[in-house]
Amino acid sequence: MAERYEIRFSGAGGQGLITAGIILAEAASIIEGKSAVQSQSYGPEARGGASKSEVIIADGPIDYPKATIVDACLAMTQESADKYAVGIKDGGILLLDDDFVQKNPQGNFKLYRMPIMRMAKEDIGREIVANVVALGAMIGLTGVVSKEAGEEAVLRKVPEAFKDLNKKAFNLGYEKSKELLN
Amino acid sequence: MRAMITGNQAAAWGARLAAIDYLPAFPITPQTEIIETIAQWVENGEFACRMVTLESEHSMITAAGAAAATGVRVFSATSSQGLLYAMEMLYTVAGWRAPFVLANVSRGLASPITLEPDHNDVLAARDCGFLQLHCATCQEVLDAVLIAYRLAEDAQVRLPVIVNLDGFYLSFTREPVQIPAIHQVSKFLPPFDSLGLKFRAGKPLSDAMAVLGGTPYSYFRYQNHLAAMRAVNAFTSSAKAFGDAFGRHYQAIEAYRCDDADVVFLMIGSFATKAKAAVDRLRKAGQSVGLVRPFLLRPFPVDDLRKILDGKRGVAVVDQNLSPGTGGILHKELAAHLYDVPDPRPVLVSFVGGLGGRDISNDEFYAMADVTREASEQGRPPPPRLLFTRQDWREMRKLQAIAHARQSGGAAP
Repeated sequence: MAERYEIRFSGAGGQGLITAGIILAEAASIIEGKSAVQSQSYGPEARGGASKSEVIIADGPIDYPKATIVDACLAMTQESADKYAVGIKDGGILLLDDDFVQKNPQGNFKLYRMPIMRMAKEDIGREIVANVVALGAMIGLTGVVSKEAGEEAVLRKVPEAFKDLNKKAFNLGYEKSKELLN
Repeated sequence: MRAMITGNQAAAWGARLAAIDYLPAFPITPQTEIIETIAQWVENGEFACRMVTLESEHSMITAAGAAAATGVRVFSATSSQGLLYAMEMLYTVAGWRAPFVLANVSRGLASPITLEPDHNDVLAARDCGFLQLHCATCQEVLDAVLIAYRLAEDAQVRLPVIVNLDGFYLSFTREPVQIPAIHQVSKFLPPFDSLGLKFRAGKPLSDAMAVLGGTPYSYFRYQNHLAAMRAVNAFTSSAKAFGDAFGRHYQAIEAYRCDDADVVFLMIGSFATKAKAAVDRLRKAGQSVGLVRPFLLRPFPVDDLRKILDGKRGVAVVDQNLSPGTGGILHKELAAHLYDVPDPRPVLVSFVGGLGGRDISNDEFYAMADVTREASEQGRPPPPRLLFTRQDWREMRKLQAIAHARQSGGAAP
């Protein structure tokens, strides 16, 4: 892995993207034993509007905890794409929700589109797990942690009654991302 | 146990592991998560302490000092405007010699109002008699709370301590934090022995009474100063005991890659982690630079500072605060502490940056190193400067244009 890998999850406040960031950071640090930090925008955005959560993962210690230019970015809404899908490294990765982002941000990165909200609603039956679908997809696209570590971190975070639902959501996102890569 | 937690949660864990008895509370962004976290533990029955919400920070600090004077262990937390609202009582309870720990989550002061961090709030409290520890990581926040109780309750010290963490950069950033087991902590930090301090409502007595004529006033104020000065050694022994118990070693001043450095950055708080990363990059490019980061700011560890800066040619003092009419506060303090050091003294270059949470970029660290090296070669510093780039200017111009359009009744943007 590079010295430092930075990922940004962005979307609308309340979509669970901060939770997705925390789960990824736990997968990397608590399960895989790497260094990880997670930070978030916190304020009016947390209740609507564009919100973001950033995770930095490294093999060695991380001195500075704030993301600067990210390696990969997720945007679930047009507003978050406009606001946060900037500052992506050359050759980096941008994943957009196919239904909610119409206008592609410009930049020298690899662009992927996936109907994340629709998949959560139609294939899993619950829109609320869209963040876990997105997390699976981001792990699939970036390979920043293993699929197993990601799944374990998701299952540690959710109550017993929702484990199956979230496992399905995670795997759906992960498999679909692999199709995008092929 | 190793967990991904925010700086706020780390502060809450520090209070929990210290087995506090009493928590007077009042909410303020970005601190509120600390008292929310403890409140939730109390509600769930995971942790027993008496939590009381007060009607202001002024009352909160009064309650904290009064409770500490009854001989129980007290924790509280605030930020920014809240700290200033409590300012009168900060002086008062320090004068009572009431030992407790107050977390301050740094946030810039109004006006204009902001939620993001700088150090004008906590540095406004630098003369109030509280001791101050300044943290750079979430782990340090937890550890500092524990060390702070040892320091506050030391029989030679007996003063309240502020543990400072930066809003957002620490308060809402999750990092892996080692949370020690409670039985380990209780060995390091036995129950609070209040010695003579045991106020009881049933046995009223007047401590901290009014004095006139100046003599008793001077006596008590100077006692406060002497106690704070004794906290330098008390810190060293507390930090050593902490290192022995938990394997994490803290110095009053962290000196990072300083030994052979001729130019060093001097900063406090979480932004110093960015300076650390810049030092590593500059070292790779062949420059001998280092970072000096005071962890203990009150009392100021003057001897350590002089030792670390001995032989250095230039110091870039990066103040994340501004005292209008004089400049960066740390720069002035440092200059005072180095004034009577015999030549060759290092040249001090003053930078003000990171106000209201403004980022300090790598390029700015490189530029500060260059400017400081040049100043050390010429033997005199350039005028102090604010870190503010062309990009900042463009953004300001844009905002001003918008404001002007509205003022003149033009089209809304």
